[in-house]
Amino acid sequence: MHLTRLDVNDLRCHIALGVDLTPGPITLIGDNGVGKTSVIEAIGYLASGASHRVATDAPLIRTGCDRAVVEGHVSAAGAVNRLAIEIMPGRSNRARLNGGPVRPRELIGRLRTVLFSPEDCALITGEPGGRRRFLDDLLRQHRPRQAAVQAEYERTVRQRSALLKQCAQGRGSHLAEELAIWDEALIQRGSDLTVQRWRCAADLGPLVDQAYAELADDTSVQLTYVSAALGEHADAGDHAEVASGLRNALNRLRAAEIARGSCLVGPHRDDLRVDLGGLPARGHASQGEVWSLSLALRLGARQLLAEIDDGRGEPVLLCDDVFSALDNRRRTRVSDILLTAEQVIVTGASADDVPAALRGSIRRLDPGAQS
Amino acid sequence: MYEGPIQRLIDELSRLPGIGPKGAQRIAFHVLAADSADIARLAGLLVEVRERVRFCQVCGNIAQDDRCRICADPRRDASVICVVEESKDVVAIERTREYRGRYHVLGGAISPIDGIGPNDLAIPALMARLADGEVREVILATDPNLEGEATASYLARLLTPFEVLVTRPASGLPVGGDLEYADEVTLGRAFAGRRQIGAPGER
Repeated sequence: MHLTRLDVNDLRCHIALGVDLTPGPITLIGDNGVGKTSVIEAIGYLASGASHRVATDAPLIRTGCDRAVVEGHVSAAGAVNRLAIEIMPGRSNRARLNGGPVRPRELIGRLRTVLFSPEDCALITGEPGGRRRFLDDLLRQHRPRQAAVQAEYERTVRQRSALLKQCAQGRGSHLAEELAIWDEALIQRGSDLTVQRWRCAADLGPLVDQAYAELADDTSVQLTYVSAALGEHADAGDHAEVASGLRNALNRLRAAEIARGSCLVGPHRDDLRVDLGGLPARGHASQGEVWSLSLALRLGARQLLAEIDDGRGEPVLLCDDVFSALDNRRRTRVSDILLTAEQVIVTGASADDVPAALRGSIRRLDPGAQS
Repeated sequence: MYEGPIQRLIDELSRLPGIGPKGAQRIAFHVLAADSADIARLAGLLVEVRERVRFCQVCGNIAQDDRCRICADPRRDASVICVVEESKDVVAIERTREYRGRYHVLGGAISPIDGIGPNDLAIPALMARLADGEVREVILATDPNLEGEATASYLARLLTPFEVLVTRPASGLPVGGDLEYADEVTLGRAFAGRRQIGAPGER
């Protein structure tokens, strides 16, 4: 699939940006602060329904506006679909598909993207939250139903945490019965999410291993989904087993959860462990290995999305200023891989930041030159 | 900003649900331009609705007297109670003309974030209605979202000791729609809750 047109209104610094796009490489060049990353962010939002940079939508909206609008024309499987999302912080977003109103989550999966950004190293070296987000983003694009599963799980955790706080304060009279209901809600939705993430990690592992071999060397890469409730050696691909593991963990942690007033176990506390040559990459990998691993995770994700057999083709690749941080050898490897993509959108402060092979069609972004 | 009452009216209107500042302004200027008899009738209704509308002492539905129209109707089947969150849900189910039992309006759903627990809902009144043993079935028709499901599960547990059949309406495909347009969650639920049509070998 590829984008043929992108319009961004009132998102970050963009008042009204409109660009026609072609398949193959597209390079966005502009000084710092003209909004290159925001264009990438806008495309990502259209694909996954969330920003890759911030957890809430408020910072996305241009100062003085109450909403931002992103519209993209996606060409896939021989047809062009117009996807539009109106981002309204504090309210429900509105979405349109080919001009007709649809629920925002119905847009997800129609445009698929994989983003490479300078912050990707944190996937390996950073906190588990980043790796969970990586898996969840991938899952939403891979299986759109997961958007609802994830949203319901998050809300269940918030509801249950609120109730645990009430338990800690001793308010209310039916707290034990009420907690039992939210335990079940957490077990049901949490086991669904755990199983999906576990399967996604299992599918992704060999693809990442292969990508690492192409990028660096043939040191083995292994992905392990670590469930806080079950421990890392458990088979978290089985619904009933995960559910009973979660139930046991909730019973075990009952007093601690009430004392802390928050949910201490469930997929929101899980991690995706990346091992390189049998050792945890976090803590053991060198800086160069971390770079190759984070790129390999993204390339594995690209492959996973490309293998979806709905005839819509491979995802659009987005590269936000990644090349300045890579040495020459990796630059060449990465640009060779990206060149095979149906469409890749690359940003850089100047054309020199982008490998010559990817300089395809250059678009200059200038402040004030937006039409 | 406008001067005097018109601005105060705009401010008040924009506090109402579903009305933004622009909509409030539009309504306020419509009020200025409209026939004064129409506006007087509207103003009268606003006062009357607060004074005259009451809640049914049996089911909690909106009523004009102590009992709502449905609870007062002897033709309605008293052995089935349909539990809903709001009076709006009663109206929606009544529109189907399929249901001949009675209702029970909870006044919301369990939501710890909003500080709403079982004590804030009309649950004791529901239990009281089950005491005489006349009710044979309770339909838990709370919303099919997280809070509605939680409320239904809570009630289902409470109802276990009673000798009643506890049911929940099915989630599934919209009638007259296209399968391909159903969203994934609904379609997934519909598949999970699929029914057999005709027994194997039955001809």
